Amino acid sequence: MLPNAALKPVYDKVEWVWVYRDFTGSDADRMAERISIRCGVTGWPGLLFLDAATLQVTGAAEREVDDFVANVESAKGGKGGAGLAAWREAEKKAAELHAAPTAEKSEKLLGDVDIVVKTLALRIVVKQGPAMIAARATELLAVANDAFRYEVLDALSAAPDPKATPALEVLLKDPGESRNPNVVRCRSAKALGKCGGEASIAALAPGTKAAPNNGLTGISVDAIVEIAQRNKGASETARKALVDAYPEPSEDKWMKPMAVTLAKKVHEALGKVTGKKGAKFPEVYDAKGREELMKGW
Amino acid sequence: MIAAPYVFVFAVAASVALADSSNPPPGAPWTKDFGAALEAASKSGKPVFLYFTKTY
Repeated sequence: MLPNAALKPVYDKVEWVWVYRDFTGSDADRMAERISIRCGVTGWPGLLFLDAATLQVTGAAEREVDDFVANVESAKGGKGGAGLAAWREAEKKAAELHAAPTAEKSEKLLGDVDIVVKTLALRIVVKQGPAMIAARATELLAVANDAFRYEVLDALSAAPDPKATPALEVLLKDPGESRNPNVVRCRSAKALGKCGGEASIAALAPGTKAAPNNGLTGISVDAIVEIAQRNKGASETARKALVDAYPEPSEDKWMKPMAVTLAKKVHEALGKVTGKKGAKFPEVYDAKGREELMKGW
Repeated sequence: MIAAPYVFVFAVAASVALADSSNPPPGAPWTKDFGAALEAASKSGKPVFLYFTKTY
């Protein structure tokens, strides 16, 4: 027991599990990886509570001692072996996949109910037959697990396929249940830029109008340019969307330079899409300057 | 410079210095056996607390 008077009373309130990843691919590391997938951990350190009865993460813990103690005191757990049985079943399937990572098995397990099995299967499918990802994009992007969806979206960006376009447009509009909806939108926009067609520009346009400090704006602008460069017939649609994407100038000390940076990005994007030079970017990006830039295209 | 995973450890036990993060600090009854923790928690009804760390 630690000689810490504040922590000692909660030592027996939870089961304490240390999950260490060294990325060696050893048995211990792969076990830690599976636990991380199950809990949706994408950054370190992570401090989470899990209900063993449901295998669901119930909350995060803070690092300050007083806050941490309060978190432990309020954390809930349930009795019953359902979670343990589900975990054992998932571990069995994971071991089978590891021993024989066949396309047939991974495609089947891509539809498994367990997020760890599903994720491990996805990683094999991405290596062996990424076309399957686009074919099942609607199903895979509906999974309410951010880390899993990030991997699906990254796979679609790496191996673009127009078949994924409808699912990407839906996800971009509504990320659904998510801890990080903006990140889901950003990755969706990136993938849509690679998979989408002219009609996708309408889905991307709202993202260009997010706050200038939101990464979604730049990603959406880039995605529109990609679509226009891939589909020459989409240039006019892209031009209209981008002209509309010049951000409102800001007087806010912090936001102002970001609005200017975004405006310059939009300006450059319009040059790429139209093949023209456009008006000279003004020394001062204000309402008048914005209007002149918009008229220039 | 103190590595990130040690911040928590220092917060909960300021007097404990760790050589690396591959093993848990002394004090709380840590386990690295997730299955055993799940089994115990499913019987006791206690929540499972997981500390995720990695090599730096």
